[in-house]
Amino acid sequence: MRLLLVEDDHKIASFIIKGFKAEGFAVDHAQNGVDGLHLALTEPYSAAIIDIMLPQKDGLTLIEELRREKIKFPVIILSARAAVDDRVKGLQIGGDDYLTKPFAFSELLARVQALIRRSSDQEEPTKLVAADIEMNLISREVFRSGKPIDLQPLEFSLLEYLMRNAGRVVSKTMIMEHVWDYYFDPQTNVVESRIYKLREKIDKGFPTKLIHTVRGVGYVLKEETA
Amino acid sequence: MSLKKRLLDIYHTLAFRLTLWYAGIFMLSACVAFFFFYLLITSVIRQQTDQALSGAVRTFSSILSDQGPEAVKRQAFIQAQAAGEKKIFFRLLYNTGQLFSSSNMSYWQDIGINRGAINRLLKSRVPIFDTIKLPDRKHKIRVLYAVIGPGMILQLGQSMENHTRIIEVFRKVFIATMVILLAVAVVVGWFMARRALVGVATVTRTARRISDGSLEKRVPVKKRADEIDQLALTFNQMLDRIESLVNRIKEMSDNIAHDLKSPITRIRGTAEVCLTSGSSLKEYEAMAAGTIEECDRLLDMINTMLFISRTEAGVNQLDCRQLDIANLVREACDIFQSPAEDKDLSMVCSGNESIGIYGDIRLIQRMVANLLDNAIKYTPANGRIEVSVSAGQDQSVQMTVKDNGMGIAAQDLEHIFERFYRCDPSRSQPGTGLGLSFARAAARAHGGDITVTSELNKGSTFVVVLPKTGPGCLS
Repeated sequence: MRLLLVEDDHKIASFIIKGFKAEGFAVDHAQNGVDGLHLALTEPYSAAIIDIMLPQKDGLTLIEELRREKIKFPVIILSARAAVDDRVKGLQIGGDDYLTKPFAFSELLARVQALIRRSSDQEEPTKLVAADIEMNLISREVFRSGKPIDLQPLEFSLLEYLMRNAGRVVSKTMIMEHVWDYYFDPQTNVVESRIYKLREKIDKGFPTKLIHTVRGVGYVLKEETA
Repeated sequence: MSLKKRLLDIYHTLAFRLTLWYAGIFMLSACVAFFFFYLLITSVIRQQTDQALSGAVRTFSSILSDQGPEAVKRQAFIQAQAAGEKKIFFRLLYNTGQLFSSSNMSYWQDIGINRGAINRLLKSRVPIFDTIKLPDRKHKIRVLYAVIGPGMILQLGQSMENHTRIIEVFRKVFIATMVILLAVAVVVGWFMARRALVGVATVTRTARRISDGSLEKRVPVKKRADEIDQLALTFNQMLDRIESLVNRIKEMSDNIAHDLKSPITRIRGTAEVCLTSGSSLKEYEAMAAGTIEECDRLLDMINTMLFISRTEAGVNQLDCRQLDIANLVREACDIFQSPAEDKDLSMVCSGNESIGIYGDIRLIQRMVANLLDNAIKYTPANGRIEVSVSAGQDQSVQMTVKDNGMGIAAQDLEHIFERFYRCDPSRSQPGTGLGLSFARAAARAHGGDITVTSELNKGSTFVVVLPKTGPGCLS
């Protein structure tokens, strides 16, 4: 999968490129709006990450021109401004998502993947499978190695989110936002407490642990490899 | 140029203008008094002259009837000479206006006989007075026409020399008095204006010293309860308030500086030690993870601070939508149930099935979460937290979070909503000291408010009241 990154800050660009390459993406980088537009019009991309404050041609104009040229790949806007108006404006002119700086890389990754998934018209699955866990989204049943596991609704949502992002680290903020629709991380460790309870049900009594804590970043559901 | 400016400065002072007004009004009233006095004196003098003339007429009249016209002529002559021929004159006339006799008229030859006056006199028989001003004479002349016998008319004239002299003296006195009065008025006026304004000058001096940076200065109050004292008192009260505000701002910026610097210090320190002490990969990983955690905390703090100050300044736009606050509170209870259980707290949530309000869901979520957060943090194991939400009358919603935890001391109670205010027992708990400030800012942004009642070691109760459609959601 090939990504276009239009960002003039070298350090930010460098960690984004490094992160996406590690996830198996090919990343083309443009440092200003004009180069960005040129690349977008000539190369096929799966998605683009475009900063708003750019030299020569700002991000919003760039997106407007892309859409005028019928370029349809999903675009995620990066901006230092969090006002509702800016967000609305960005989405109106043709952006597909909006992320405010500073952001967690894991969140950018998850959003880009979600945008690509949506744009490639994948059918919504009825069943999720990760390692030896099976989750039926219709009957809302969960099995590990064929053994039924009884989960509370919130625990079910949490596990569903972890399974949809299996193998990727999700931050506490992302969990709050996607599982509970809360746009902040409370002082009391709500997520930690739930994860602990989920672990008790998913991992206890099984030889391989599936839910792991990545200190400082978040949680990940994967089979222990190390 | 500078002289002109200085004069202009003086002109603009209140003391100068007060003095001007004072002197002006003083002089005006003195003039009015003098004018009436002048009228009075002139009328008294004229009356005296007229009485003297009338008296003479009566004498002549009786002489005429007793001794005949020749005696009158003689008497008149004697009188004129006795008084001085330049002071008095007389003419004896027949009814026809023909001259019968006169005193020595060489000085008075310009004065003729007023035919009109004689005709009127013959008709009404009432003596007629007249005042004549001769062009080259200093004094006016008072003239009387009277019938003193059958077919006999007397024209009697008297110089108004006394009159003029008195007026002259009066004018001199007037001018001298006015000059003295003006001087007195200016001095007294200036003195009084300065005296009245001396308090203002004190206030000004104090204000000037304060603008130089000594905020603890106060204007001395003289305890006379006059206007200046009122001004000084009000000014001092304002200063008290400003001083406390400034102190709080100082304290707050100290707190901000402290709370922002500590995580940066930790990040820097850890990174430095990691780099210089030949650490293992594990230690590097721990350093990176710690850095992320600290940064997230910093970022959260900065965002919250920005939100609170924007809300307090009234520039935050709410993203208002229809939402079910009963459901929102239930969800919050669900989310916090788990950490509450971890601490062996029982959390009971009750309330209506559904209450629709207009509001910014993210702000209200966070406000509720912050209150629950606090309740869990400050209630020891086996405690109880009760959360309830109900629709009040008058289109408002009331939410209560009650705990039986450590409570808040009375002296801290009024400060707990301030940014970064943390009571001593709360310092040991994690947190930014911004939770309650945020909650209150969010409630106020919706046109509501938060109140708290608390007793140390018994527990606290926070009550949020929100209008169903706040003013923040109307625009």
